[in-house]
Parts: sequence; C-alpha cells; structure tokens
Amino acid sequence: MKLPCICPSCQQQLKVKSLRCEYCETEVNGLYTLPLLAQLSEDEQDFILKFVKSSGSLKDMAKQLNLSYPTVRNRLDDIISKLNNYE
Amino acid sequence: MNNKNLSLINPFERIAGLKALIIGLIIYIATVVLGQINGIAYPGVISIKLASLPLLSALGIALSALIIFILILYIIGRLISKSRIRPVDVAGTLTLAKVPLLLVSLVGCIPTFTKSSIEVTNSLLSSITGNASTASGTDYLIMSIFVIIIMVATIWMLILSYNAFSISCNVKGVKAIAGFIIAAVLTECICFAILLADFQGIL
Repeated sequence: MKLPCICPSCQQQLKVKSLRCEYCETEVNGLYTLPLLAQLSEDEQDFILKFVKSSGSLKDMAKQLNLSYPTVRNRLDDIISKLNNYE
Repeated sequence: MNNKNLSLINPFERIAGLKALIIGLIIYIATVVLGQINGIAYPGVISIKLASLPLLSALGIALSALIIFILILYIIGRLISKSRIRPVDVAGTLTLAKVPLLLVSLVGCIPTFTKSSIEVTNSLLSSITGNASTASGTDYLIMSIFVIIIMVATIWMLILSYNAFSISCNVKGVKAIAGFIIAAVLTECICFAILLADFQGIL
C-alpha cells in the first residue's frame, strides 16, 4: 500500500499522527513531520534507492535504466532541488 | 503519446554523449556529401540552399555552422543552467538532431526535384535578369512538394535541436526558448558573415 504524503483536499504536506506496533499493540500519538525522503514521490524514492545501490555512479545508473547520462543527471538535479525546497 | 512516438522528437532521453556524437556526425557528413552531389548546401542552422560547391567547402561550411551553434548553446547553457553540463552531451545531442536533414538530401537525389527548383528560381528571377521563363506548371508543383519536405525536415530538426539543448543543459521554459532563439539567430548571423567574407575574398 502506498504511503500518501499530500493531502487530497488541500494539497498540503501530510504529517504522521499515530504509529502502531503490530506485535504489542503499542500506539504512539503525536504530530510528526514525514522524513524528507518519504515526502518524495514513489518514482523519486525508487530513483534514490537505485542511485545508492549504484554507489552514486550516474553512468552505471544510466546503463541500468537504459537512459542517457544527461537524463539521469537531470532527474537527480530535480530531486536535489525538491529536497532543498522542503528544507 | 507512447514512448516509441516520443523518441522521434526526443530521442535524447535514451541517447546522448559520445555515442550520439559519432552517429550524428556520420549521418550529418553523409547528408552534406549527398547534398553536395545534388547541389544542396547547409550553410547555417536552418539554411538549406541550392548551391554548387566543392565538397570540402560544403563540408567546411556545414560543420562550421554546427560547431558555432554547439559552442553558443554550450555557453548559453552554462549561463542559465544550474546543473553541471558536459560538452560531449551538448555536442552529441545537437549533432544527432541534424538527422532529419538527411531526408532533404535523399529527396534531392531525385533529379526532378532539384531541376524543377532551379527552373522555378530562374523563372522567378527572369523579371530581373530579362531571361525568358522556362518553368512549367509541373515544375512549380514539384518545387512546392520539395519545399514542403524541406519545411517538415527543418521543423523536425529544430524541435530535435531544442530538445537536445533542453536535455543536455537541463534548461526548460522561457529561459530555454529565449536562449535557443538567441543561439540560432547568432549562428545564422556569424555563418552569413563568414560566407560574405569568403565571397568577397577577405577569408
């Protein structure tokens, strides 16, 4: 199941209100901001995972994804820009 | 639009860099050589002219125009982009973007098209030169078809060139469009100046 990050009503960032342990039924309530990486879209998170698994080599990523080097670099730059805006 | 169609106007998501440069250069040189054999020259970014030139001159003019365009777009890309730009990506994608011009050279291999174009051009100039017009209605029709093919190839090439610039320099929107137009106009002006200087024996 996909974790929603944006409010479907007003398009603002959602926050985490409650976390629950499925083993001992402990529930933690509060108002927690989602981690930066969790605020990215599924595609972007997948991209970052592939980036880390490629040891940060855009060249290897481009081969893996069958995309050109500038395309991969542009996607990374877009994610960096998005993360900077969230901060 | 599916991915297969997209690759006709933006293949640079899949191919760039040295690979694009080598493929693009081979096709572009073939385009210029085929064009030269049939009296077609490519002296600028969007210029396609009927001209009989020696092979070396035709290649020199066409490659110079391409190199100047690449250099200007690289400089503009460096100025307006926040990303690191690799010169080989700019050169490769822009060279590959010239592929549609091969269509013009291939159509030019059919003698009817160039012959009719020359007849119509001479006919249009006959009022100035005083020579009798020899172009027939068929010549006008054939030349019109040739002009449409040239327009389609040129528009396709321009779209590819813009996408090449956008992807290789990571620029979008108004800045990218303005930068591209400035580069195209500057390149045409510089190429025209070089041709004029060559014609006047300055170079």
